[in-house]
Amino acid sequence: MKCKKVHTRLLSFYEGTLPQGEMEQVKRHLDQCETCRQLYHQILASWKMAGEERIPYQPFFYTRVRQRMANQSRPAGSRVRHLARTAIQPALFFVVLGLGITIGIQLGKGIGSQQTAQVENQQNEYLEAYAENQFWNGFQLESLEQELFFADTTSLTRSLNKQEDSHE
Amino acid sequence: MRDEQIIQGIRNGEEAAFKELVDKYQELVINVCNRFLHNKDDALDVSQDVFIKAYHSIDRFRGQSRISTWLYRIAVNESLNYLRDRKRKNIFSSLDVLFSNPGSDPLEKVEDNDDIAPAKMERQEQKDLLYRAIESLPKKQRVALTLNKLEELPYKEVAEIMDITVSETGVLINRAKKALQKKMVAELKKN
Repeated sequence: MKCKKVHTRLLSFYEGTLPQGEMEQVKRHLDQCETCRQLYHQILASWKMAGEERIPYQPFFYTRVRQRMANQSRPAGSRVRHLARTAIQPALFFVVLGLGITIGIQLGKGIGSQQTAQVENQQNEYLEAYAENQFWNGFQLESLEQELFFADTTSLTRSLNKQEDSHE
Repeated sequence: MRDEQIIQGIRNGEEAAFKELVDKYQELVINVCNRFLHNKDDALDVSQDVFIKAYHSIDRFRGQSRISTWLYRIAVNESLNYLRDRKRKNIFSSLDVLFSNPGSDPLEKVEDNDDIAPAKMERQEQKDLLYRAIESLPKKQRVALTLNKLEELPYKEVAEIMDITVSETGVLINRAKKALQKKMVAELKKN
């Protein structure tokens, strides 16, 4: 018999309620396997200890029962307090928690939208400024285009001057 | 006083009859509660409720079963209810711990355990191992196993207490035993 199979038969083996063949197989396995033998003894120790634990006769138990009965029959005040403790308190807790979450979400929304608006304004300003200067700045940066432009205009003025001179 | 006389006496409002019931069956009730709660103070507490409940519902006891079976049934139900309520309370107390000041940290009390003798601690650990395994079982299996193996009640009485058939009780106990051993072996291997 394998260890796994033995593990599910330990208590029945201790009680002697397994079929004869299985009793012998478990016994043989426990004789040979040190790990299973240790497990068997540990489980058995816990099992016996729990079974032996007993609370003895309590001399003043009846007095305590009567006292509790008297306390329970006390009306109104204590019952209201008990109800407050068991039902109203948890209910209030959840109401406050829900309120807190709702207020938090609302506040979060407000702050979030203000911040977004500020960032959007800043971005727009930047974009507007960029857009205003984009053409000229870009023009300055593109040195080749600049040269061509200026080269074209100078050649154009030269040819215009020549034409004027010839007219004259 | 015989059980029938006790019942009749309680129905007639006789204080002596109720005292007789409590004195005669207190050990049975306290111990079965302790089997489920694993704590003496809690067991004493719940046992008081069991007798109060028995007192108030005495008219519903039809005498078809023995008083002990009836008391067992109330004790099992009250203990399971107590465990359910305690679980619910623990959720709130864990919130209390979160918001309480550092001086009241319950973990600081662990240091006191240094005084406990190692042998006693080992015994407690062995018991805790079994209790944890039992508590992890499904409710019906837990009740059947506890009543049969720890309270040493015969299948017939367990079946009566749980209001099921004897064969169902046998099936529950066998399943519980197998599951319990598996859990204990797994736990012991971990350690």
